[in-house]
Amino acid sequence: MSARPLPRLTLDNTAFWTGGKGNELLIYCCARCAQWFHPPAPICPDCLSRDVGPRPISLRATLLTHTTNHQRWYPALVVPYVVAVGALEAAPHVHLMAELLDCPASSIRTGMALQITFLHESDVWIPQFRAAAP
Amino acid sequence: MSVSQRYLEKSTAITGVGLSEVARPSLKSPLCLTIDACVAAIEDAGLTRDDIDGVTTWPGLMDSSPGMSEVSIQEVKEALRLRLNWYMGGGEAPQHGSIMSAVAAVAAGFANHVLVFRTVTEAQAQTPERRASVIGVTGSRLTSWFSWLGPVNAVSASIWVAQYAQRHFEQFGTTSEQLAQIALIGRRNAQLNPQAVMRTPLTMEDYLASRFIATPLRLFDCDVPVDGSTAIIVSRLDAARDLRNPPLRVEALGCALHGRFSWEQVPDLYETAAFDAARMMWSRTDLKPSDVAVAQLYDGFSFLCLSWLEALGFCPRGEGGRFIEGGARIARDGELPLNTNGGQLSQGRLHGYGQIFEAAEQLWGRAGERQIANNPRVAVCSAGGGPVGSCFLLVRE
Repeated sequence: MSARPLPRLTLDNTAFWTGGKGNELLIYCCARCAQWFHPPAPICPDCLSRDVGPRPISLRATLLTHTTNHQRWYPALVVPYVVAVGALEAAPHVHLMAELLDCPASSIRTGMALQITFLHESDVWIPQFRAAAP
Repeated sequence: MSVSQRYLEKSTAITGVGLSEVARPSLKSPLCLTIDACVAAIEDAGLTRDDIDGVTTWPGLMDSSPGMSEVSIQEVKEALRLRLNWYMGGGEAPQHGSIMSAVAAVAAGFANHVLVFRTVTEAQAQTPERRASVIGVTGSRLTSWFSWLGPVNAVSASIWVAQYAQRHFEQFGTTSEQLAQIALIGRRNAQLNPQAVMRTPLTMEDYLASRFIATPLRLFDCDVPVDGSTAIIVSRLDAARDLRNPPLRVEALGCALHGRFSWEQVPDLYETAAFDAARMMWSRTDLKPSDVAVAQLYDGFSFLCLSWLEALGFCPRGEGGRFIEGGARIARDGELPLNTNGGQLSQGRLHGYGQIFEAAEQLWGRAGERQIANNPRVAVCSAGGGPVGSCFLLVRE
């Protein structure tokens, strides 16, 4: 493996992986009950409505947990780096796992505010976290 | 309807086990290791190949992760020329998927004696560029739940587990010194296990001085890729009573997944499939955690073992760190002897099946120098982490 592994794009996940092109995080939402859910699926997991689709959501999140990875799992990987799980501010039950950039380990705190940006690789835009401006 | 009529795993039993050499690397082929284990298990049960009418494995042949599972049922069937009434192998199940389907097949009457095998050859498959158990390693695009993890460089289970461990440390005050006990106890037990690959003494100082893999997990919190094969015979209980070993009845099995099939979407980043599986297991038996004489709990990472202790109710939620503090409680002469073969951290990563082999050795009183006292009759085995979890109780008849 020489580079970051990428997702296979499908009809269900393409919006999520390409929304970053327009600086948008596109998360599935139910038109009937307004529930956000992730990963994308053709049915609302709450009310079972089929009237669902991707919608832009706030690019802010709250840090739930993180790890600093030190192991070079594949040759091109630059270590150390931080991988965090964040709860989306506009839908806290929807979590996102992403790298946390430009944030020294000593300043990482559970509950800190995160801003989502995107890394363009090939045909996908990968969400990444940064510490949000206070 | 009685409990034994209602829960049909009780009509099945483990009657024989086999283990190949465990090495890093082994010079034997994956199929050769598998056959070594299978022949040993059949013989151990006091059966011949003519008695074996079912075969199963987990996860079945897969080439997406080097050495993860390179032997197919087809090769084993052909090598031994088995006459099968039933066979099944596949990965979409918890790690005990093979045991679960063997039990179901025997209880349904499809087979009388099922040969279960699990072969890992992650030592001989590794190269500097091609590591075992790293997702995306083959370069093909990711699908299913891995597709949410690989692109953010969460390419190893070390990272997913570390995030849960970090949260446990913050929420419950769990410490590195507490978590270390899983690795230290394993190593102490491995020193009495000729089939363990890591047998040099390990101290708390060594542990705390070891490098981080993914904080707070260190080198000694992660299991060791090895080459080895485990085989287990699952038989009809009423066909097991006249065999060589006292049957180890499958008293109760849990394989539930009620929560999310995901690492990162679990609401509290705490209650993994282990909790669902454990609740299901205990709901199918009158036994209680206090009845368990020996625990062989999955330690692909030390933290998963701690999590299983909580999930199975050996201690309250969040108390895992304090439960194992100092290590006396989980030592061979403690109230809950744990991973008496050294576990995967020290025996090697047999992927949940080394635990089953060791449970049988202990219940049959043949674990040699590491045999626990007082003639143990009840063992619990578990496997998995995150959205993958299963466990079962064995009772010697």
